[in-house]
Amino acid sequence: MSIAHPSMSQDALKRRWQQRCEQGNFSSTVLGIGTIRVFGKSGDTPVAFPRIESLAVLDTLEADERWALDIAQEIVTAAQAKRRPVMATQPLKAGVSPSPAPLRDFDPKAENIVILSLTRGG
Amino acid sequence: MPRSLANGDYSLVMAIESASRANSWYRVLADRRTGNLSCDCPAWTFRQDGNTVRTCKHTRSAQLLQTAQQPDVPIERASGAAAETNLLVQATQQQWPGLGGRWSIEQCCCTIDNHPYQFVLLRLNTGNGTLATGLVAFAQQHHLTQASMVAGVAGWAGYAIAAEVARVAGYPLAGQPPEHFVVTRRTGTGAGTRTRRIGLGDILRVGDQVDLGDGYSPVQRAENTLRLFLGEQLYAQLERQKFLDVSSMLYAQEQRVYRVRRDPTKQYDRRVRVFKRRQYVNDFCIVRDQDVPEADHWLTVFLRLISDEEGILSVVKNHNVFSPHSDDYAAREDETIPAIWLPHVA
Repeated sequence: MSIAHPSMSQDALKRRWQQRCEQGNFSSTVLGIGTIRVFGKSGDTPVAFPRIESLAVLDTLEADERWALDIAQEIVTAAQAKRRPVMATQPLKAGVSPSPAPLRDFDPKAENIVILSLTRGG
Repeated sequence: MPRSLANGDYSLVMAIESASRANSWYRVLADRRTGNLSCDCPAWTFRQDGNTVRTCKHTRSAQLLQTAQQPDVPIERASGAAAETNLLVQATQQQWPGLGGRWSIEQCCCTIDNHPYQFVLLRLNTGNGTLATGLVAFAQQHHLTQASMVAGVAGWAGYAIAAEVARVAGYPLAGQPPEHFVVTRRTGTGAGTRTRRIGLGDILRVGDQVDLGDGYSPVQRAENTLRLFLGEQLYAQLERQKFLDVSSMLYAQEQRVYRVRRDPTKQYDRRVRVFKRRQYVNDFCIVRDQDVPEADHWLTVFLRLISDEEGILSVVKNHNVFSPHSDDYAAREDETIPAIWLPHVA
């Protein structure tokens, strides 16, 4: 399986998305940057994606923004296929109880998504 | 040539069956150069103790057996002609017909980490001064009859004895041992993967790139994430207490509280203490099933107990439930802070 963006290579899309994140010049429908953290040997790799209200506004995004969103969706899909727990959660503020929520489907509005690690009984 | 049991670099001290998976075998090996023990189990494989010698419950048990400190209940002891009539000895002789000499067998029961095990020790005195032994430990819950142990004894104990006899006779290569448990490690880490395009088939391997070019080690990165998602106040509380409590939603009637504990050295998985109506009743053993830093595992357990209690508890079977203080290995740890159940509050 691969993500198809016929006019640009994957590397070019990745570079352009990284530049956009650094410069902050997002399409108007982008709410901000969301982050997926994939727990693994790296001790969490953050993957940025453009947060949008819903996938209905996908056509309003630039190619690299769509590419980043596709990657984020695929990560969540792959995690669920591998039975990795996926949660939307927020960094905590003082005095607030943690309120992570399991994600069944990719939520393009989520600010923080974590792909938790696998556990077993020992 | 990589060092291995088959190449004669190690001796087989004991084959021990996994308590959770029938006929899945860990080998406790002794390095012939250093005498250090190793094990195939995930706990030993993934344990990083710095400069100290790595251990697991299997190597510790083997050490206790070697020094005769393991309390046991004898079942059978026979040697010579009496041993020749034993089913397990006969099966071993049949599988290894070249092994001649005076056989003896000892069987006893003892527990490893609260799991009852039956140990079978075969000895062969070849008559020319060679005494070779083979030790096999069966998880009793998987082996209710003597017949069910035949393959394990003949395979593992027979192999250990044959390897020792061969080595003494001047043949360092012992041949391939029976099939044993192997931890599957994911490949594809290191500098070469940094520039590799990530295909969607292995997209989750983004989490396995050790060098992200951010100057942090995986352990530091995981600790930062833990701190980020706990917030300063809760993180400080965890650092101070070495645990955080999670009130159960599923078992609200019994006012169950999970005490998610953290190893002070931030290396090992600690068992989750379970309280009912403030009484400490059990330990749940939930361990890493993939290669992640300890902080990631701790955060996984904590977040899932809060929001996916049923999911995280689904990995806890009867044999993963232990009596209180089951992992207080060095000294008994009694926390003075009461475990108070609070509705919908962690």
